[in-house]
Amino acid sequence: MPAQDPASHSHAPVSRCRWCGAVIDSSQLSCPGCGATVERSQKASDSGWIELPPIKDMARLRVGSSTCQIEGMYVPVADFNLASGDSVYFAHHVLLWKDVQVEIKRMPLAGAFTRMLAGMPVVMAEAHGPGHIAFSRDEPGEMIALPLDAGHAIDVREHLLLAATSNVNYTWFDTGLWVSSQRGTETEYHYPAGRYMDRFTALERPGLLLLHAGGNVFVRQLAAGQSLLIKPKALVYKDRSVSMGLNVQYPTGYRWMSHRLMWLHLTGPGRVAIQSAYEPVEDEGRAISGYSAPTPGRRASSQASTGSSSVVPVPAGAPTAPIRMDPRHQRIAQMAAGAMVKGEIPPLMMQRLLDAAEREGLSAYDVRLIIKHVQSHGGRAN
Amino acid sequence: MGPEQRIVCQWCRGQNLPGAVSCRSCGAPLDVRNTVSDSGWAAAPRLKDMTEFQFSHSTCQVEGEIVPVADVMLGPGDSVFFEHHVLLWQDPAISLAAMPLGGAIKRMLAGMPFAVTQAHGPGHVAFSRDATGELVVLPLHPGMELDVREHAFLLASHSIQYSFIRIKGFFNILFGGEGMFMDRFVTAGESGLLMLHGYGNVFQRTLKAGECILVEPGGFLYKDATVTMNVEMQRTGAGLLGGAGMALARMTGPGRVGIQSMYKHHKSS
Repeated sequence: MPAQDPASHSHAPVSRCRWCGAVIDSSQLSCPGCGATVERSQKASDSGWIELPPIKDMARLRVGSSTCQIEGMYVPVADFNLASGDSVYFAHHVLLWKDVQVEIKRMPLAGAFTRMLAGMPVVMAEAHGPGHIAFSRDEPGEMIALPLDAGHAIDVREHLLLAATSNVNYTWFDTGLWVSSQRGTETEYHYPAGRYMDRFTALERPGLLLLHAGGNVFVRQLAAGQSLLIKPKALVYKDRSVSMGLNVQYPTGYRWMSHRLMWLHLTGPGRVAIQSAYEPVEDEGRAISGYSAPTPGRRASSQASTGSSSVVPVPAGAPTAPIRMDPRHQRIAQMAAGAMVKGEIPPLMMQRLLDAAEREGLSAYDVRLIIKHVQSHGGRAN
Repeated sequence: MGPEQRIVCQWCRGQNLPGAVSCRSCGAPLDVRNTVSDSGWAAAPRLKDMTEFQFSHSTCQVEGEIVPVADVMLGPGDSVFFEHHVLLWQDPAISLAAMPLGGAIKRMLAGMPFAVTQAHGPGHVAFSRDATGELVVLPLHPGMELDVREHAFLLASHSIQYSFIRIKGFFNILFGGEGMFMDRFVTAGESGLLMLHGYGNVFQRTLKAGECILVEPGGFLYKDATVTMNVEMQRTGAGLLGGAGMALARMTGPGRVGIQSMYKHHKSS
């Protein structure tokens, strides 16, 4: 993590936080940037993962003129003391308590309809100081404080955001990672790593991003070209430079008589963080009928010992990766792209789309997914 | 070096060299006294973060304390088996294969894992479950048989034979909280390593021959094969119709019984 400004601590002997690189003076027991315990040496496993240093109970972080205190160890609470003029944003279901005078406003988000379809929070709330406001999630885990320097960005898996200071810009992008399966005449799309991923960027000033992960958190620095297979929902965050792909393994070597393992294939350079408690990917076991993006290494002979394997490489942070579509989907997508007015389909055209889809043997659900796809690609069919 | 100079682990009875701070077979801290309650339950050793221990030509490192991870460095020729949903990450060099199991249809019908996967070294592979709890490391010496509640095992080394036993008695099946089958792990000629994930905290008690205790079926985690388990109904009312009742598992020694403090996990129920 980039270093913080050392100017404010020039009066005492200083050291740097092993976790985030912030400057710490000798009187402090925890890092003012990320709350990591100072006296604790960095714990690294033999396999190269560094364990997130636990944030000491009641550790205090400084964020501009405001502070944030981390309270508790099992389900930690982030208790912000917002100065006048400072604000944080959050998804409304993580709010624990607040002072009466703290004002909460709705934060405008683009693409609310698409977010709703993707199961992402539609309403982001913004709390304005002065006053106290506290956040927590409802599962045991660890709080991750990520101080972001100006210009620095990080990609976070959906639903892990706890709160961020308002100078951290929030956008999201299409992961481009999916598999499809067939149920009768309907095609279903599955997104093992989530349909979208959050991207947080500190603009002109440094900011603070707080995440909550289930269980313990481990971070690893991948060298350029170094690869790793992780379970898709174990991912917490990654640098933009880390590219993602899907990898499907059939341990018996035969698709028709094997369970399958769905992996997220990560390739460096950059940092990757994982959580030890994660929700398993729902896989109903139906035959996979399509993959996102061209897959030249789909049946890589080098992986013959692990059964047949599918690798779907996706360029780092590329929401516009080309997607191979069923020709029927392609026709409906072209129709939808032509009919789209300001990112939406007018009701009359929607009816025509549904009729055309029915003639193609596609369902209303397929049409909704196709519209989502076109919307997320700026009104283009592919 | 004489045996008097060795440190014996109070959890697994493994022998360790003088100066060791954690057991090389199970990772239990050697510098901490075994915690035993007045009622005779020994707390499973709280494995220190980043503790490492050995089995065969491989090592296992336990990482984290809330939802601990078992990070296994498999040596060449070594392998471990596991239920596929506990995988967390792996080196691309690790090869996975399905482990042949008998009675797949019965197991599938009973809701047990019928697809057990084997990871072959060399390389790193890591496992974790999706709930707060403890890792229980049980080095199995030759000739041992251990019964474990279904879905509780995290991994086992290749030298351990894995099978299942049918729980007898309609009442046991209905009210035992186990379903129809229980996992059985047996070591033949070679020692092996079995790791379980217990929800909450894990406690173990050794029963003498004929000694009985009653355990809430959801709290049961493992037992030696010598311990018998029968579910019985305890009457809690004295009304005309007998009142309500609750099912409890009667465990009869000799042997070890392990329980977990957080009852059956809601996601596996």
